[in-house]
Amino acid sequence: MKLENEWRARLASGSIESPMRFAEAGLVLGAGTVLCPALAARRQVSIDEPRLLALLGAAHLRKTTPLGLAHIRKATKCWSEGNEALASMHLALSGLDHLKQPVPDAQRLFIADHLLRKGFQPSTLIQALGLETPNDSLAKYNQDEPRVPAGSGRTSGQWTTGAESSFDSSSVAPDSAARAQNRSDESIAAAPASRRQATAQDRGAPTFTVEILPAIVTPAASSSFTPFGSAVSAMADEIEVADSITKWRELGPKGEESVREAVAARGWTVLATQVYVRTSLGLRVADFLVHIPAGMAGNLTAYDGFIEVKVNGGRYNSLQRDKDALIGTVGGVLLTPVPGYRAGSKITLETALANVTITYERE
Amino acid sequence: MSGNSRNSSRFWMALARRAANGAGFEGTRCPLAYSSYSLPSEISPSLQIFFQKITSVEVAPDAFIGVYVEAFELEWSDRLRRTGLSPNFENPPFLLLATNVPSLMRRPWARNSPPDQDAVAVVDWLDRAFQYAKQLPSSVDSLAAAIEANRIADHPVESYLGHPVKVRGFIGWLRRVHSIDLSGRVLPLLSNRTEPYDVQVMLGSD
Repeated sequence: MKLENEWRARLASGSIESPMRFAEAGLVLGAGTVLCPALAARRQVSIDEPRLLALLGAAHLRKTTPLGLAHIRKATKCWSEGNEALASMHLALSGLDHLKQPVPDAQRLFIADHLLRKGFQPSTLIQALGLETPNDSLAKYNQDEPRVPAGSGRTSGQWTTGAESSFDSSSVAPDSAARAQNRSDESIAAAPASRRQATAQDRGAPTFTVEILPAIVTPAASSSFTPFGSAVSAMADEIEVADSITKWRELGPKGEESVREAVAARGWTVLATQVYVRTSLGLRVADFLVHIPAGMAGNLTAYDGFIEVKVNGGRYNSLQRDKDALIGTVGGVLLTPVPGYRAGSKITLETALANVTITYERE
Repeated sequence: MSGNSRNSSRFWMALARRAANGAGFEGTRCPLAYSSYSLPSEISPSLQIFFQKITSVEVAPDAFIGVYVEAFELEWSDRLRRTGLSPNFENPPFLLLATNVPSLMRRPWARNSPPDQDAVAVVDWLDRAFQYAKQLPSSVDSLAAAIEANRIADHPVESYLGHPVKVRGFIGWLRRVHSIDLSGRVLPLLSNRTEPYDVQVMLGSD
């Protein structure tokens, strides 16, 4: 709460700074967060590379490339030599100067800076952000792999090898899907979020394609089951909630309805949305908890599970995967009242992914 | 109404209370999770209203639509106290998230300090939720008939199942108090999950 108050105070004290720029305090980004502090000597900054990489990772949620880092180094050199135009050019060439989603990106950067100043190691933050092996979670996921039957301690159902036909991955809104394919020039799947928001206003009505992947994801067991520590968990909590908020803002009420329709079209019941579960790796905000009656998805008996929504190919980072693995194996503590469960009790359920593609059509 | 008075959950809960009263509902005597309302009858439709923080500047209403049985909830609360569990996190034995009702699936997202049109949209959604809830059973006979027919309002009974221990407790209560045995219809739908209840106390004969 204290950190949240500090963040609000920071926001209130000034605007979000994007792009990155040189200031009196040094090289700054976001809500005045100093990436590289100024030295006593005029126009000199100190580059602590591990710290810088952790901060940039928190801001952009991706690893910093060697080329990007090299441009930042060149920018600081140019700036120290008084060549501000060239310094700005190198910052732009780094590809790291703009925040795609200024407020949440700046907030993560602010939290990361706070933790580093409290003594946390940059490598720990990189690990907590899930940036040590980018994109490996989905690479490991094989949707053709038969699902492992539930453990003996579980009361849930089992998937048959014929689950594929029941888990038809076709769109719940076939018209929308067809339109999306026919108008690939309209697709903004790869566009930055800022562009997406502008496009939403400029181009007209958004349409949604919801695809629920044809198997429950059973995340790979991770060696990072050992808690990183309470403060890192606290940071993970902040990031988790910020991620959830960003996602729902992008979906909007119509997108939310589309996902709900997709679930209903399969004969499933939504038990809850935005379900908070406490794990030893930190808070997890599950997007949907659903009940799947027997036979509705090739399951022999009724089954409850979480659905993680990814919008326009959003990341399923390794920390989220590890939390989901914990919830699916040893369980987590349910913090949200949910039909069929009691808040405060242990919940052990698996997670599936749902991809939501948003396209925009001219009206 | 001023922006300040609207900038709190109290404003939203006041709207919910007004919608409840307008539909003839009143606060439940036994505490349930969230703000809960029922009709003044032995068995009643119920709504548990809550407002989710969707984004940093928006909230959205949601509700559990259920069947509230006051006499059973009173007995259940007594048993809970003996095990040290609070009754404040309880749900009725039969309930459904409003999301699953097509006419309530799209809910309004309202700004934290809502302009009038946002508040009106929320009130409209709440009114529709209370009106929909009135379709649920309001007597022992209508509840028994609904379960026999495997249909509560527009959904199969399975969609309405609450915690398996509580449902078992309710089915036992119906048998003891009203000599109605629905165990053959309901128990096969339940899992064996018991967490966090002490089954000896919650389902015991005393």
